[in-house]
Amino acid sequence: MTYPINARIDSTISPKDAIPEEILKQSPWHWNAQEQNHNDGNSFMYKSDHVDWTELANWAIARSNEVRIPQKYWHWHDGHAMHAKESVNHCPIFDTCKQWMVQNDYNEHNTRYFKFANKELDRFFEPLKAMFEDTLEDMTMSLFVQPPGQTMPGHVDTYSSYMRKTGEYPDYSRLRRYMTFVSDWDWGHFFHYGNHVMQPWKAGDTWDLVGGIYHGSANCGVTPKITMHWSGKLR
Amino acid sequence: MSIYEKRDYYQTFLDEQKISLDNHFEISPLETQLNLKWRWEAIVKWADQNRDSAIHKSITPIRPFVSDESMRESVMSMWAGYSEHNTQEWNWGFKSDAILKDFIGEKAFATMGLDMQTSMVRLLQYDPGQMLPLHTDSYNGFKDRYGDGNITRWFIAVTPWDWGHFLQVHDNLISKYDSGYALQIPEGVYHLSGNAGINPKYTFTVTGFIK
Repeated sequence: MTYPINARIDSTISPKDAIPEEILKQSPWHWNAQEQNHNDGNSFMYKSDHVDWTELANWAIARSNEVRIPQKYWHWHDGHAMHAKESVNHCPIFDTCKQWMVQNDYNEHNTRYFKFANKELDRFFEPLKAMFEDTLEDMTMSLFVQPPGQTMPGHVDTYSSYMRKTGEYPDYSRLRRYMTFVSDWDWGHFFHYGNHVMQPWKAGDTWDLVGGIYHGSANCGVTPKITMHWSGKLR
Repeated sequence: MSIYEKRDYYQTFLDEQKISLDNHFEISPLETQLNLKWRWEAIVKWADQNRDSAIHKSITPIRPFVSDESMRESVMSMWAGYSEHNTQEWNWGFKSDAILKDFIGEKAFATMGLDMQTSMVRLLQYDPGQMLPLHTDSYNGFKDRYGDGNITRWFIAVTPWDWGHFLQVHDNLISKYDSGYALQIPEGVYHLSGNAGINPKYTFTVTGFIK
């Protein structure tokens, strides 16, 4: 069944317009999708063998099959930008959410993912914590399973979850996020970090997601895309 | 095998067909940069002004006019998680593609090695959040109109690459292209595309006989 699209056709949306001013000041970036001369792919750290990534991937898929309903998704409801059941209207990602869900058609059908955080990571909690506990304080860990057909639309990390957890407005000069690909790159797995497209990757590839760079991901393939994320304040 | 036989996982099907990302498919001889006759902004404007002539479609297994292979790909994609919510496509050219051919221009057809008169052009719009899952091209619509022969298909970027736009042809993930970037996708090569950005992605597909 067809329906009107939200996006205006005669104008291009600039994602920069939705980014909090303090992030733009602290993390200057080129903000040009056609820029060829950039360093957006320079924050690869290492290929980690701290964890048996195949075992973690199998665990994540088994847990997702048990849960069945992805816990996380973005949608617009009654004037609120909703991340699953939580309104993020008071969070710094709100203007970006409006670009996704008011100016465009992201919704609960195309942004779904499974999330397993901290102690939910079961026997993997300790070895995963050990990877960055010397680097980050107030650290949170999240494993995301993105099923085929789903997207994580473009954004700059604004640490809304951290804000909800601590009640503090984020100090972007200290906050940091790291990411490891848990499974090998496969059909349709897409992750762009600024103008750098991270394809192909191997399980264990670990990136420093330096702040202020617009990024997003999608799974247009046939197998789940699995990533592990650590967030916290630099010690 | 019956087309109605349930195939649970696309990956199993690919494995059985020995379709593997470990086998590199070289695309560099198939790429070129075209100078489109019209600027991309004008093409986008035309599309919006003629939206009532476009078909708005999404994945469905109920397509009796396509091959059983295509139907099987659709069913397997739906089983994997694709639906009317994440596969919507605006498609111009079904009624007439004459103006679309004019947008591309005679010189570009010559560069692609296609006969302009018997080629079939479609203008596709994928909005943010929408994808075209893994598939091969069967050229059914083209064959119905022009018959069988040495057929190929070209992808042409209308809008320049924007964050979140992607095309994958076998193991090649294509991004950061400019308007007019063109790539020949031979028959039987698996490919997909999507838009995880915040601006629409417009492309042409051109199907025709290789000269």
